[in-house]
Amino acid sequence: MSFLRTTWIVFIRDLRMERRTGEIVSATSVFALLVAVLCAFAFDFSSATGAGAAPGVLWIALTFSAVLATARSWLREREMDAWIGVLCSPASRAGLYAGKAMGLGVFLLLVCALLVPIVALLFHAPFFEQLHRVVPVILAGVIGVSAAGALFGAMIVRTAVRDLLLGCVLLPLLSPLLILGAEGTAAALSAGGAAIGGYLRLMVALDIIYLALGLWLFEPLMED
Amino acid sequence: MTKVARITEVVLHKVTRTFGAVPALREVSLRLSPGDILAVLGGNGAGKSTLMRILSLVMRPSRGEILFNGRDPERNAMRARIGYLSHAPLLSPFLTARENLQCSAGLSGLSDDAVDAVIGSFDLGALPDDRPLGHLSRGQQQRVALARAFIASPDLLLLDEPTAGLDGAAVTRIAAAVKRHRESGGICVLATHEPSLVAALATGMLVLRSGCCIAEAGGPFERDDVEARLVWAAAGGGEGA
Repeated sequence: MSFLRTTWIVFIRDLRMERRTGEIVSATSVFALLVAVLCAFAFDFSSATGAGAAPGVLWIALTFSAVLATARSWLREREMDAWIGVLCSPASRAGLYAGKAMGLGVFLLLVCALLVPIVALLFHAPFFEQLHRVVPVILAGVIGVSAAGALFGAMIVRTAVRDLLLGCVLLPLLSPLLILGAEGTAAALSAGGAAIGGYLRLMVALDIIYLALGLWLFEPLMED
Repeated sequence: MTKVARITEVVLHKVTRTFGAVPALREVSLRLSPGDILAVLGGNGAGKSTLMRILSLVMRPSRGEILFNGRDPERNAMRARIGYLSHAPLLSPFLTARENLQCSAGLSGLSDDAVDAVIGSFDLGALPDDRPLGHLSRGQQQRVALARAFIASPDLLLLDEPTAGLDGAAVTRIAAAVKRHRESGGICVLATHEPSLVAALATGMLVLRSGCCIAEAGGPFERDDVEARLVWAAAGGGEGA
């Protein structure tokens, strides 16, 4: 069973479940938009300080949405022990992991597609003018968050204190990526966008580390 | 997909599994050959499901050996020869029966023809195609789960309390499927609290308590004998069984 075919089957399976329930994208989008609106009032969005806070608000909303999406993505695999059924197959474990990570990534990108315009409007930040710079930063961030979420979500969702533990484990682990994401977005929104290359390179390096860890550790984690 | 030889022997040698400091299975050994139907008896928490998950290669033992055809199995490939049916359907409640079976077939490297074949064999054609599995009855869900377990024509069939909450017709269907599996030279391990199922099917019996094997016996068995052993196992074992 090839890696790519397994990845595709698990990815399509996740999309089908989401198409039927809509729970991950709808719940996380509402949550992310609520964070953005609350922050807009807290930071006085009409001022210059408010506009400067836009990258931070975007990444805070995205981070907590990612924790929510990760938990839900794995919790629904516990219903009827559905994931045990998947693990009973002879499919490549790395492929199963990649499929889950890909699904999570697509859900988060959909949340971003709603969140970015709202943050841009609320904070008068030039996201649309700098879209060609902002999109690679968001993509790099979403890939890393999905890669780590698919790995640690699978492990933590089996514990009784998963809601507490997922945030406690995932957020510190992702903090370098999230800081780089916020800084990179701020650089992308600034007039020249000069330092964005440096941020992107570091984010891609972290993505590779998270993905490599996931592909390597998923099988032993699933069997223990 | 790697071509895997038919399973002709399954051996567990002093298999122990612990969760943290808690032992779920302690030094359990068994040997299975084609045509064997081993009934695993024991109360709740006896270690039956842990034994099943170790045999299904979903879980690794903490200590001890598991050998398929006399050797340490290539785990991913060997799973293609194992069918596992649990009291939970092991299917997504958010997908339809066909979508679930397509996913299982795809992950086993099989085409949609295999899906059509099991839908025909297990009489699933009448199930609504637009309703997710979670909206079907328990009996319908278990029929789909049985079809999933058989989709890759397994050599080793693991049934973990497959009849829990099912009506008589569903139990009969499962018993018939197990008999057909045995006649085709397959091996079956059946964990159950159902004495009539053990009496009708089992060729051997293993009784577990607190993760330990406290008795083994060869069949055939009478229903009363099985009931007595179930009561004895639940009471903690000891002289008299």
